[in-house]
Amino acid sequence: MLDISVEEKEQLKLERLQSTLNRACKNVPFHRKRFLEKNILPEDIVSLKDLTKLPFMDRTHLGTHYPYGLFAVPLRDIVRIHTAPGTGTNPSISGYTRTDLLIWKKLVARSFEAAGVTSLDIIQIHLPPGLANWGRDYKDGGEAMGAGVIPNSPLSLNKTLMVLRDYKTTTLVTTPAFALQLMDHMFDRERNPNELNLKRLILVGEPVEGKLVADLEERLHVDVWLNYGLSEIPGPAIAHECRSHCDTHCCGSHCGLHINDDHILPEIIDPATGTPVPMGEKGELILTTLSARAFPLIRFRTGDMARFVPEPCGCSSPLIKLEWLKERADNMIIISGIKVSLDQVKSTLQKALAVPCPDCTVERIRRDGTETLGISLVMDDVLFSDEIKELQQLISQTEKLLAEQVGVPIKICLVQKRVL
Amino acid sequence: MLRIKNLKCSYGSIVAVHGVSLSVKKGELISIIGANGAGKSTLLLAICGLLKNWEGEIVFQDKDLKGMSPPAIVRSGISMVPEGRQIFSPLSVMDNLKMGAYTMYRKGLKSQVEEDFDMVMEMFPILRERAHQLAGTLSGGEQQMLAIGRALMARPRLLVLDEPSMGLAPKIVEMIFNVITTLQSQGVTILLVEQNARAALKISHRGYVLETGKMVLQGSADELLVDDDVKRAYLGRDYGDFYDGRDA
Amino acid sequence: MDDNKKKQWTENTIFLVVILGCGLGVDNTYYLQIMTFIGINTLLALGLNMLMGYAGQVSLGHAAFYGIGAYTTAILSGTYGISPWAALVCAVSCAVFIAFVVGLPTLKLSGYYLGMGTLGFGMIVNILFREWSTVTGGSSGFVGIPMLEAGPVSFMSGRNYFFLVWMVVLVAVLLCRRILSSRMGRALRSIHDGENASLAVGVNTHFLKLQIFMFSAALGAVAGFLYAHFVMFISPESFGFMVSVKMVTMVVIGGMASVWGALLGASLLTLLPEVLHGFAEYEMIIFGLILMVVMIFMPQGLTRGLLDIYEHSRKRDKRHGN
Repeated sequence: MLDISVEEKEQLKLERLQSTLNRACKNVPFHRKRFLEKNILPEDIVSLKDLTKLPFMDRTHLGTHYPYGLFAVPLRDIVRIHTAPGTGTNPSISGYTRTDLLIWKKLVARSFEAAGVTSLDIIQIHLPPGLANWGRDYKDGGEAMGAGVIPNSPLSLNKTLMVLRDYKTTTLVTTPAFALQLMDHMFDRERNPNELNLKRLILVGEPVEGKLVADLEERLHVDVWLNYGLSEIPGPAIAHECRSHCDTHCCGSHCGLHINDDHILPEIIDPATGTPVPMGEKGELILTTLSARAFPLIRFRTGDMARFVPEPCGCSSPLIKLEWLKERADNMIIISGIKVSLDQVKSTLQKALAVPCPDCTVERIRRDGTETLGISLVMDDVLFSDEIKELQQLISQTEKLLAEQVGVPIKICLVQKRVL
Repeated sequence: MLRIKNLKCSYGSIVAVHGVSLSVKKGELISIIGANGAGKSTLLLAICGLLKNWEGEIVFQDKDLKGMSPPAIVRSGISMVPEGRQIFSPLSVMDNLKMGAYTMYRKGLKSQVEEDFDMVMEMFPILRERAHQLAGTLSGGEQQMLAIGRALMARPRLLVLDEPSMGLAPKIVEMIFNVITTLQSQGVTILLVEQNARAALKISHRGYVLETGKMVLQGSADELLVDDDVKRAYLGRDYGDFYDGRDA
Repeated sequence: MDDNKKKQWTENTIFLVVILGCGLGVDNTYYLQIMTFIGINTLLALGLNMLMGYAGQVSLGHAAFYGIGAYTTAILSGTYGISPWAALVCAVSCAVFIAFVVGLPTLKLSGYYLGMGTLGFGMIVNILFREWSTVTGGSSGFVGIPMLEAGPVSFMSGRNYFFLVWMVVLVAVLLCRRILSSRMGRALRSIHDGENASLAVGVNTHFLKLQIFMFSAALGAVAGFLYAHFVMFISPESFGFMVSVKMVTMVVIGGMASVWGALLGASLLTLLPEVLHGFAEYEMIIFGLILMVVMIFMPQGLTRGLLDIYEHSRKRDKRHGN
């Protein structure tokens, strides 16, 4: 299916893009309005380059148009709705029709195939609750391939390890954080990685450094494959690594991921200006769905930084390659796969503490396999209170409020104001 | 084989087709489905050169069809079976078929034409029976067969059919579609425009859905047959659903 | 197919025999003259029949080609003394060329527009005949058209000219039938039935229509030539709008899409005025009435109409007989 000429592929992409725009304009008032605002009709998009004429959309739109505002099909055609905490008061959701699910199954199967998974493999999935949606998609993809699947479940590290060993799992789909934890755990207890039947790790959720990958591969005796996906909408395995990923891991990245550009159209733009960057330079990744029925996305700002890899790949795949970079274009931090908006954190703090501009730093705390959002709040005169109990209560209330808002565990510490 | 980009067709100031792109690969059977007035026939007229007023790009085997006259397009390998059959009533069946081979005579390929007669008669035995009858006296189904036979006489590389099932009884429709499937298996590339979406998609590789002149959906025939929108709008209920109690 | 050919051959032979019979049998110069006129009109009707009946193109200005044929030979052989036979070649070439030039843009039109186009053309040519008096003699006409001669035979007398004209008619009839049974003829009939389908099959309809237009113009010019050297005096009135209409009427009454129909129509429309002379002031009324009646009851023309009656009566006889 993928062995078509460049011309045919461009034609296919154009056809799919045009029909997506037609459907979006016809069925989704949000998109139709934005087209009108820019005084554009779908028929004005005559080539893939014309995509730049269209406006962007981002996560805030997903929250604002809760619950049905962005659906392009009637509700009765939606067979699944994925939810995520979102960046505002509304959860962010996305919907799928039967056809959409079929397509996603195909794309996940593609990523498995590229990683060398066959029907003889046993796939185990271990993902944090924030990526539970992906858990389901990987399970479906694995089943579509005919492999054995052990879906996501809340087992402890030890029990997970037992299952890995006793059921001879060959493929583990997990986050880099968990993989790291697994590796450290095994070595702390001096367990031999060879007692596991593990052949490969598929890491999802965030970009990984080459060094970490090299470490994992060496110490766990596995092949590591990266997958890129969006946690709220369309799904996992938007891009996957191919067979010709660097064996030596010499380069900082992993030589790039193939993005399924026959179903999702990627662009790289300068996050500040919104204009496309020259081929090969880094910028924010923008995605446009080409075959999504329920939830078309037009120029969605992912907030992930990436760059196209213009050099042709060693494998024969015609899909274009991307390098996923560690930086982010937006003001977000990833905790257990869930994207947390720092702006939202700040504004919630402001409201909770009744302080105009709370001085704080935010970071991710990784401990014992869990990730927490740590906020170091600078104590100043406004906040200071003699009553420790009062302060503690305020802090714990704020923690609870924030946790409910953003969907991740929060830990607030008070720190002294730094005297320069 | 056929690649269309951003085709825009107008009748005077009324735009019938708004920026449609589609493609047909060699050996495929592609269906275009849609309601009445969706612009399907207009699209075909533009491909065959019978509609002069179009913008965009139509490329057939790397040749740009813009500005080409209908006879020239026939010579390059596209044959159309028009809507409503449009066989030549005052001419006999044989003469109609001879007309189909009009461009062949020009190239001096008379012997080939004789072969083609036999080929068409074999495919449609009823035409052999009625060879000298006036075409206007044939039944609807026979006329449709004649129209297809006539188009085949030009040995087309791309056969374009405009609503072949229109006005025909279901049994005849089934027969005609069997013929189309046979042709495809013999290597003829076919572009089919149909209102009977179910029958068309069942025999096609891929399909395109046109709505008020805009392309709104495309995909493999299997995908389209299970798609909810398509089912609701175009597939109606299969007679089997009534008997089995299935919900279409 | 062979049956058809046999039938044609029989018809042609009968036709030849009839011509010979009339030509040799009739002595009255007046009758011979009338039959000669029928012959000339048949040529006009034949050409127009191919255009209207088979290609389906209406032409309301065809008398122009008739006139071009007549005036060309008149001027060339009368004023400049060129041999009439050479003048014939010039006349036909002239008509064909003009038909090409006029037909190229006009035949792209259809329906009313084509009618108006040809009408306009006819009128322009007629005005030319009238106004270019230095060459054409203007409204008073052109006198002094020489007689035709071919070696020892001089075509002045009624009988000689009768045979000349009818031989030409026979040749024209054979030519038309030849064309109609050819691939070109099929294509013509297909254009008439449905131009779009014809295009879809690869027929270059515009070119084909143009060719037939030129052919009918040629026939008209030959008719004009024969007319000029017959009456030896021509004036613009003979080639005006009314004559164009008469030509169209001949084709329609006789039966479009029928070669014999042209003959029948020409005969009728030549004879009828002669016959009705006796009715003096009622001539036109009766003429008109006859035309109306024919069109109401036999809209496909007399040929088809008479054939239908014949077949109908045969069927009735069969039923009664058996």
